[in-house]
Amino acid sequence: MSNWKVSVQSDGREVEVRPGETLFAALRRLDPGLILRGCRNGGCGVCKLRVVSGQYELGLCSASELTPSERAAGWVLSCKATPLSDLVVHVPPRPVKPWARAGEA
Amino acid sequence: MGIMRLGGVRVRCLDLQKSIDYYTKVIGLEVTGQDKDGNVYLKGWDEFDHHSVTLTASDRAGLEHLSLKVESPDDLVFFRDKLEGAGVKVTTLPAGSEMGMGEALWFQDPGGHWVKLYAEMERVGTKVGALNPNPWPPGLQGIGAPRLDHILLAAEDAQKSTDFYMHLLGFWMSERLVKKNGDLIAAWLFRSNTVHDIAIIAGPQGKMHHFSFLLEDWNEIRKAADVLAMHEVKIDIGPTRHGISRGLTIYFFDPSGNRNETFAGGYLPFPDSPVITWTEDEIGRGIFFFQRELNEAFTTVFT
Repeated sequence: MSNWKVSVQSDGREVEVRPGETLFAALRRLDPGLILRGCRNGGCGVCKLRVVSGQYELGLCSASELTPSERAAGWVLSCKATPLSDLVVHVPPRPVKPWARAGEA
Repeated sequence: MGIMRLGGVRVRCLDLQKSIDYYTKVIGLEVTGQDKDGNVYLKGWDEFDHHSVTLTASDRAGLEHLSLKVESPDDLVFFRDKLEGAGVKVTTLPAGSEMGMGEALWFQDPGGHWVKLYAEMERVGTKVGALNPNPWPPGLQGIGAPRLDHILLAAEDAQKSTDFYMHLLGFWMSERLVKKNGDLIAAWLFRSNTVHDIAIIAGPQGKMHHFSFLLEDWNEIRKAADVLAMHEVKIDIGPTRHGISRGLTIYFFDPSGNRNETFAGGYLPFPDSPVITWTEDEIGRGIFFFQRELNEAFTTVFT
């Protein structure tokens, strides 16, 4: 079976998806800084991104983190998305919590 | 008088059967019943009440509610008056709102979490019994967790939630984490003689950070890590130690992405113990003592 490629829309970087690998796992191999590592079970939503083009299969995702309208617009929880073709993805900026960094008032 | 402990958590599951398998085969709880709505009740081997963890099928992850056990039915009258006196809307639920549970009070905390207070629950006994018992029972599965320990709740206003649990529900504070300007980031609160029964952290309203199962010691934590790895459970961090609470820990995720913890150690706090303060510049050492820095997930991943 062929290995699909995932490319990041903003900078064109590409990674080959290993058989059975999730979109999240492939992108983390490309660049661990690209996407937060959360629950990896479709519950917390920190790995949410938008598939701009291509086919994929999406497992169970928490409806509070991925709404039906987001789904329809191509948003996925990448930990539950398995590529079924080459994909182009849009990775949104990472969330910043106001109190998360030490030393800031 | 008052609240004795965190009695239970009701947890939302994206795939109920997968969660039942996980909480029985990996965590090692036993199923004690299923109600007509399909909710599944479980308990640890050293818990004598009917259940501590309830799994409920849902389209989302997260905490449905937490339950706090009070000493006697008189406490329910006391807390109803006290909460209503402070302007909290309280509903009295008849016996049977959960399997084996007596009458309960139902209200929302300032962090948006639903809370149940109850005094009575059917006693089914521990696995080792109460007469000349062995230290642990044969035939445990997976980690074999003896009991639920504590829960960490997120709240937009951590101070307000902490005040609620301390002033209205009678919790004491063992430790706190504060910003340079003195604002509260997180608080560790207790009613039993463990370092925390409930903790509060500044974060998204109504969300849960994790709930935790008690283990005996570091050996058990190491064994738990083996079990988690064997079952390919998604581990967040650990085994490691918390500076705050001195607890030995592993964070990991259930099949719906709810964070679980196995916790051992800690120390005995008392109502008159001085509150231990951690400052924000030491947050790394406070949360993960060995790594001395937070992982990103600690402050961003909630369900």
